Amino acid sequence: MSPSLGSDIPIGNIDAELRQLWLADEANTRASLTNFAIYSERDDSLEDNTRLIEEITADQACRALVIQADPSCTESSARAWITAHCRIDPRGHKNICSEQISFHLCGPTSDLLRNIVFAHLDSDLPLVLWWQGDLNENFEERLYSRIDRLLINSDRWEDPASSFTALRQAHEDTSGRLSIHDLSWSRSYHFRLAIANLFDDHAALAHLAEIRDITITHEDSVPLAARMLSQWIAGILPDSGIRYHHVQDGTGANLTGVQFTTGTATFTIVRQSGSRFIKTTIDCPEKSHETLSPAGPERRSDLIAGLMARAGSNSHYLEILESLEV
Amino acid sequence: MPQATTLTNPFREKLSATRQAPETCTIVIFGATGDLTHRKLVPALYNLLEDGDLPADTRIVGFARRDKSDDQFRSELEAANREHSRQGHDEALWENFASTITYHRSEFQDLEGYHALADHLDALERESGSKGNRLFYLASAPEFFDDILLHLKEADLNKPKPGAWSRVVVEKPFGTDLPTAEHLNEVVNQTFHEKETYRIDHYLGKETAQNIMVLRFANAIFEPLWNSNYVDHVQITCAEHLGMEGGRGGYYDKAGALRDMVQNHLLQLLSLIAMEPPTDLSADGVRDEKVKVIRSLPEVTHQNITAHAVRGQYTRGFINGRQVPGYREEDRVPEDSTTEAYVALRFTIDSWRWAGVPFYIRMGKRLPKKGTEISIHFKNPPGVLFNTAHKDEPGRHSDVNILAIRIQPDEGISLQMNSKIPGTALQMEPVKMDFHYSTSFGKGSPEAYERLLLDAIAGDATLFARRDEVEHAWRFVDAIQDAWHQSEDPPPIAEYPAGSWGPKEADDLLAKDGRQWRRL
Repeated sequence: MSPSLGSDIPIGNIDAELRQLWLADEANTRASLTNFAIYSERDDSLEDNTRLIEEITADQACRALVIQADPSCTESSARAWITAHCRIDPRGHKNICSEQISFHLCGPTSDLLRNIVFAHLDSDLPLVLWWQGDLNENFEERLYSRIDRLLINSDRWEDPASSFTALRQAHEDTSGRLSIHDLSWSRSYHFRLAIANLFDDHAALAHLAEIRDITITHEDSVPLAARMLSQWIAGILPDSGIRYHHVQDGTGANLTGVQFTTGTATFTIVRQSGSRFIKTTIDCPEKSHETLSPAGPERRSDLIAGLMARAGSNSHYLEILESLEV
Repeated sequence: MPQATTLTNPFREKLSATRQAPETCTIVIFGATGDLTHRKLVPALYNLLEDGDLPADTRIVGFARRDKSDDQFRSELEAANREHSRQGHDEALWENFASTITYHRSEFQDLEGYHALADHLDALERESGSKGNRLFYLASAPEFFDDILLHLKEADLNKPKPGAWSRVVVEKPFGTDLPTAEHLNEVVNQTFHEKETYRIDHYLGKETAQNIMVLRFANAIFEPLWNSNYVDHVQITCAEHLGMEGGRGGYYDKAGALRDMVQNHLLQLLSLIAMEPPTDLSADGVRDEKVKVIRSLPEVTHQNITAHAVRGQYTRGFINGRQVPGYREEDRVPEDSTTEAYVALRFTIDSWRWAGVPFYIRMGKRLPKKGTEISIHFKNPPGVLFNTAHKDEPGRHSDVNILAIRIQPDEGISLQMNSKIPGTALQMEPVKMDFHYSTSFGKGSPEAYERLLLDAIAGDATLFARRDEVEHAWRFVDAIQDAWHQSEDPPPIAEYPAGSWGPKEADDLLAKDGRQWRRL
């Protein structure tokens, strides 16, 4: 394994090794505001997620549990590593450090995973779990009923329909206590904001009832983000025969544009790659106008850190959840 | 063109489940060349745009007396934004923002200037196709408020267009005493409806001030203790280490600590701390409860003033190792000034919840450090078991459990409690649980003006002072001023060295009750 994971240690010694780590280093201060666990079944995810944790902890001090599982192993086994990510605090006074415990789990996973997660939490701090990949049989009730916040990335799912079903089931099983945040939906926030900004303009608003076609441009071959945005728009606009079009243009995970057209007017929202802003263009008989609005974070780590700091109940996402199961 | 005058933007309503949707409007800032516009208002609007919260096509019109072009005005604002913007300055975004800013030159007393402003606003609204929402922001010197309001009325600018709104934001001070506040309120209310009037107190826009209601009413553990059965006393401290730098002495000597800070900011904090749970979170639901607190303050008279208040002035002393002058030696302060640079108050609130609980408020210049804090001092547990050692010591009956709400700087909350010192002996020490906004929520909070401007645009007056709140606060403060300045036997002005925690007389105010000021 990569040296970035830190010291390879026996799992039974993790707490003692962590204590040693901090005792040996008086210059650094341990900080933790939340438990942040990442679960992945992808090869080499430990290194990738360690880099991500390093970026996230620049803004969000946490205890990170980075877990890579390989359920295909015939025999169960587990290895662990500990390391710390340090940064100078905002006042420049001291080094603030977040600790990371990495696990490689082999074999049938669900019991092992539950034990690994629950045995290594900072007590009383909220637990945020980022489940990377499809919600399979390892994502089960005794795990998710004890999570405070679940992060998922639905546009990376291979079987979205069954994962959305599992997600809705988890939400029901927890009586809505489980706070769900889909990165795919969160990434679309600034597009939704740009749409709202667009129709703050009264010339544009006056044409709202005449919209006939809505074209959403996306980079992903699985246009989930585009579908979610369509559902959100459809939930707002009256069902008056509007045609929705999804057009792939690129290979990333982002939305890149939305266009509303009537017989006489076109309203366009475009995010160009690498730009911090979304450009909104109003082109109707009464006026032509361009404006900029923020495009939101580009880096995954900024998006996650924002969700960890400010996430709410996400009620609008839950409204469209059922429609995504088909 | 299809008509949109009565439509609302359905996308805006479906964007956030937790706040009212702001609507596109034109913001007219009176006193647009002043410090407040440059340091606070324009950076706040720019940051709202940066966060995507400013409705599209919002226009900004600066109204002031100096002669300058739109471009000159924008350049000055750009320089200020570079210096004061919370999230930095982006060239492309500023260019976009600046294109919405125009400058309108006029004297505040010139009616023609207001007619020209009306034409200018009509033209902007025609160009944007907006329905004509207008927010008038009085950021000028307060002596011009009357003129501005009366001329807005004469030019019919106070009347909203069909389907639109017309609102006014009034900066403090809301008068200098009760009669002037009543007069200002009369003029404001002859021009704008009370529900379209937003009296801004930026303390209420601070995260920690907003969090007081959440702390009290969204947690089950505090409210049952939030009364005279469990609370020994409450302290509110606003400490300034600055004096009268930059020629502030001229203004300050006319106001004093009581008018400048207590009448508005500190009584607002007091009302949030002491109010009953509102029936709902509507603006009037909250303000109805806040005003009851102010109305329940005691009547201060010439006879009882010394039991309620101490005033003071600093003498020469040291701040951060540097010698600083006394108050009466400051620039633009008269040598015989009787204006207080420090005030300490002691009173009880005449309500069922707070019967017999003293509230102590202090505000002072040239104190050792800057900080605003509210501390709730809970009663000690019974003097048995662990607490027998100190049960009869004066000053030790309320020093264990303290909930401190830090308003600024380093916004946060701490709770102090007793803990056993590790070891074989049974010894206790107070320990602290500490919550800091800056570390718990990562990125910085919006500036108070961002929140308040957005609320005014969205029509949410919860964090703004209502007329009756302002007038009742003046009634309380005026009685103290009257006892200090009109009494035949006024209490003396206490003195304290700059850099100390205030006059001994203020310490005595608490010592008489067996208590002491909390050390920040």
